[in-house]
This record gives sequence, structure tokens and C-alpha cells, in this order.
Amino acid sequence: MQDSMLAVQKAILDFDFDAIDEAVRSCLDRGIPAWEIIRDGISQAMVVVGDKFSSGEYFLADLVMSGEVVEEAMALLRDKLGTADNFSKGQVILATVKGDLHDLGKSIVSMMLSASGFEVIDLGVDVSEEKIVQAAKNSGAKAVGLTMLLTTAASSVKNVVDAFIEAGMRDKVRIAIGGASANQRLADESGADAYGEDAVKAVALFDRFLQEV
Amino acid sequence: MDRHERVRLAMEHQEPDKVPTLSPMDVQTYVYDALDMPVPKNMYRYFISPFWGRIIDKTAPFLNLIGSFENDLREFMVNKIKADIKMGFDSTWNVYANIFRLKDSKRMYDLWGRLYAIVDDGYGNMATPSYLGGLFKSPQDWRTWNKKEWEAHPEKMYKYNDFINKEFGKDIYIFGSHLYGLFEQAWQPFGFKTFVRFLRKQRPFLEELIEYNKQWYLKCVDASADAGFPAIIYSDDMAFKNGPMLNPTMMDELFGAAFQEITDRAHKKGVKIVIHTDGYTKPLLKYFVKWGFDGHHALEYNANVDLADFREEIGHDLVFLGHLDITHVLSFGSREEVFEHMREAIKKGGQGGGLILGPCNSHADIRVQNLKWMMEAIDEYGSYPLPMTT
Repeated sequence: MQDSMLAVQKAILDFDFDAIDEAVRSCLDRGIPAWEIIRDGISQAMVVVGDKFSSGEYFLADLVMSGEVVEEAMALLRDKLGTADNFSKGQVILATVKGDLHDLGKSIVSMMLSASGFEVIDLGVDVSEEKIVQAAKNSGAKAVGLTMLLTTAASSVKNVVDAFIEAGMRDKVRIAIGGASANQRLADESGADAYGEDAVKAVALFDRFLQEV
Repeated sequence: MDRHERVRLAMEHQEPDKVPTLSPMDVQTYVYDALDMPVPKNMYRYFISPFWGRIIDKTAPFLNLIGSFENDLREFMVNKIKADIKMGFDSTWNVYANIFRLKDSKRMYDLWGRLYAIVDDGYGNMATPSYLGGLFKSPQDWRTWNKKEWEAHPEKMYKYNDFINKEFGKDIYIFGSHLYGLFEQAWQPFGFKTFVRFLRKQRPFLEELIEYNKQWYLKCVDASADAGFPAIIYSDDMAFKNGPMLNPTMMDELFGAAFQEITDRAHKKGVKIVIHTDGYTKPLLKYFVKWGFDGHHALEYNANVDLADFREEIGHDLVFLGHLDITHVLSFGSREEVFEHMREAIKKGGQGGGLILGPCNSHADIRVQNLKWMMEAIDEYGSYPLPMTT
């Protein structure tokens, strides 16, 4: 791998906000296309970040910090991506369910998915089931991630699942849940397809979903 | 044995007559169900009324000036302690929560720069305001924030605590508590993403912030200890479901000395101090001891906390408080599920004292009936000396 690509990875793993700018510019100066920098530099680094988080070497703040460094890189790369540069693994709809306004967990999942090559449609917080179903209809996304921190919002998961059934779309989408008040029991009881323990596991989960559907 | 003695012995890692209990922090439905009273709507009925909402939108600063919401908070906390006593809890978590101010009819902010949404608890009552984000974007925002009310807070807290202790201190063991701890004060007024950038690029500012907040918190410790409370719950969420939010080594480096000063102050005043944080905290336990905390509260069942595993990790260097599941067992669980949960918790964490059980957090679905079963199960399984195979 080229030194400049390794420098992109190193900047992300070192959480170095200054070095990432120089590393990305160096790649672009060498004629490396933006999509290749994302695929071989950023995404590969985020795999390492995920591994370090899973092994307990990195903590939540490290995940967020790496995401912020990636954000700096993406600011330089977005307008360099051509319309033909379709490297997306697929679309994932994310939403904090109705009755819950917490954003942190969802934004970390969003960051990890984006950096891993998914196209994230982030619907925000306190999102109704109607809006989630409508977003799936409009976009054709086949995967939905629902997050919640509040235990009182747990019933909203079942409402989303039921809304997909009512819309005749349940077999066309996979639904995962996550967040502080989520667990496997809630996934089972509400009819969701899976429970993801953290943002790193969410990446693997949505990889699997998009292969299944 | 009375409630004070029961809790005091548990806090000393001695075995009382039975495992003591600690109430939840702020659950309106539980409080008023326990007291057989309807939940008062107070200001909330105006927040949710379109007509009054428009008026509140225009008059929020005036309503803040006359302390309209403060009265609701005070009424609730007094009723909460009454409910805790009536229910038979041995100890109560008493928070002086007069920190919220109206931004408009839909939102509040607090004295330290957080923004909240006014939300329903699912039963038509106002829930604890839901954190939306920070009002500050830069160190300059924080430096120029009007801290007049912030700095007057400890004195008001003392007066409130003094009233509470004189009114209820004989009837129940009171843990004084303050919002918020140093870690939460470092990130929530800015948002987590800004905070992590500060970790890399604004370390001197973080140190300035922590020092300021520590000095303020020391006054809050005095406000509890001088009022006569025997113990303090230092509330500072620093973990989430899967582990600490920040590398514990970095947490120690940034906050450790300040935490030690806070616990030293409490101990010099003769009170115990317990750290409350949600989440899976095993990697932090040895630091809690290093920082001087006497106990650890939350120990969330839903965050996979296993009391036996935690006890093995830290021995009797920390008292364990809370732990009981609120997502299902104390909310929707059957009598059998509550009893089994209690039997397991006592078996895993009760040997040798140092265990005080209660809901690990607040949740509007917690049912009075399930809390009664919780108390019955303690009578069934929690009498000392515990059999080795409870």
C-alpha cells in the first residue's frame, strides 16, 4: 500500500486532526481517486478502530474521535466523488424511535456505518413509525436501525415492526435495534430481526442484513 | 434494627439484620401511586396546552424569575421521600434538582448550559427533561456564560437539604445528591463530539473547566454534610452499556485528582460518598477505590453487571448499591420473577454485607406492587447471616 494511504490510516488511528488533512491532500495530489481513499484508507482504518473497540483497547470516546477525524477527511473528499463512484454497500435507515430524543448512540452508529461504506439515511430523533416506513418506501432501503435510550420508548419498536407489516413490506426490510434500553428480549418480543450491542457490531449486522435481503 | 443502623452497617461492610434498600431517584408514577394520590399536573398542564404554551413561550424569563417550576420540583421531592418512607425503603436518594429553567413551553435549559426537551413519561405526566445537547460551542461560550445562579446554587441546596433532614432525617437514611458530576459537566454542556475534540486540542481548557467545577462541587458536598445527611451519592454517568465512555487511564489522568479532593472533603466531614454511574463499569471499579469512593451505585442489570463477578474483581473495597432491573423485573415482572431476581442478587452480592438493593435507575413503568414484592423477597432471602446457598 502506498505511503500516503498508510498516512491516512495512521492519522485516523492516532486521532490526529492535523495529520489527516495533509494525508488526504497528499493522496489527492498523487492522483488517487477519492473513492479509493475512502475504500482503502478510511474504511480500512475504521475496521482496525472497530477491532480495537471490540477488544477493549479503544473506548467510546476513541470511536467518536476517530469518527471526527474521518469527518475532516470526508470534508475534503465529498466534492471529489463523481456520480459514477458508487462504492456504497447499500442504504441503511437510522432513527431514534418515537418518544426518545437521544442522539449520541445513533450518531456513533451512523458514523461507523458511513465510514464502513454504507449510505446512511438518518431520520433523526423521536421519529414516528409512519415516517420510517415512508423513508423505506421512498429510498428502497432494505435495512433499518432503531435506537433508544429510554426504556419508556421500547414499545415504539413494535409499532415500527407492525407498521412495516401493515404496509406489506416486512419481508423486504431487516430491522435491528440498539441502545441502552434495548436487548435481545425486546428484539424477540417486538418482532425485530436482531439486537446490536454496539456500533461496531452494528456494522457486521447490517453487512449480513444486506446480503440476506 | 432501624433503617439508619441497617444502612450504616451495610455501608461499613458489616452484616445488618437484613439487606437494606435504596429508593429510585425520580419516578412520579411510583411516588404518587405509593401515596394513593393522583400525579399533580402543575406546570406540565400549561406546557402541553397550545394556548398556555404560546403564553409560556413569551413569558419564560419571567416564569424563571418567580421560580414557578422550582415549586413543582420541591413538592415532588418532598412527596418522594414520603413515598419512600411509606413503602419501607431504608434509604432515599434525595436530589436538589432546582437547576432547570424554561426556555419556552417545549424546552428547558439548566444552569450549566444543557438544553432539554420537555417530555411525557408515557402516562400523561412530565418525565425528567430529556437532554438534547449543549448550549456551548467553545471555551469562550462557557467563560462568558452568566454563572450567577450557578454559584448561588450550593447555598440554596444547603437550605433545602437542611429542611429535608429536619423533616425526614429521623425516619429514613438520606443520601444527598447533586446534579451533575465533573465528567458530565465537562462534556454535556458542549456535546460529546466537541468534548472529544477538546481532549485532543483544548486540554488546558478542560483542566480549567474541571478545576472550576470541582470547587463548585466541594461546596455541594458541604451543603449535604453540613445539613446532616450521613452520605452522598456523587452522580456522574461515565459508562454506557458496554463499558466506560472514556479510557479509564485518561479519566484518571484528567479527573482523578479532583475526584479524590471531593471524596476527601466528604470523609473529613464524616460522610460516606458513593459514585453513581450507569453502564458496565467493571474496568472502572479499581479507579473508584483509588478515587476514594465508598460505594458504587447503579450496577445496571441491563448492562450485564454480574454482582458476583464485580465482587470478585473488587472484593469489599466498595459497597454495592442499586442493581435491580427496571426494564422488566420491577416494571412488568411477575411475583416469581421478582423473587428469583432478588434471590440471585442477594446470593451474588450479599455475603459479608456491603449490599444495598434498589431499582438501578428511574423508569416510569416501575410498579408499586413489584417494589412490595421486592421488599417481601428481602424478608424471604435477605436475612443475615445469609446461607451460603441462598
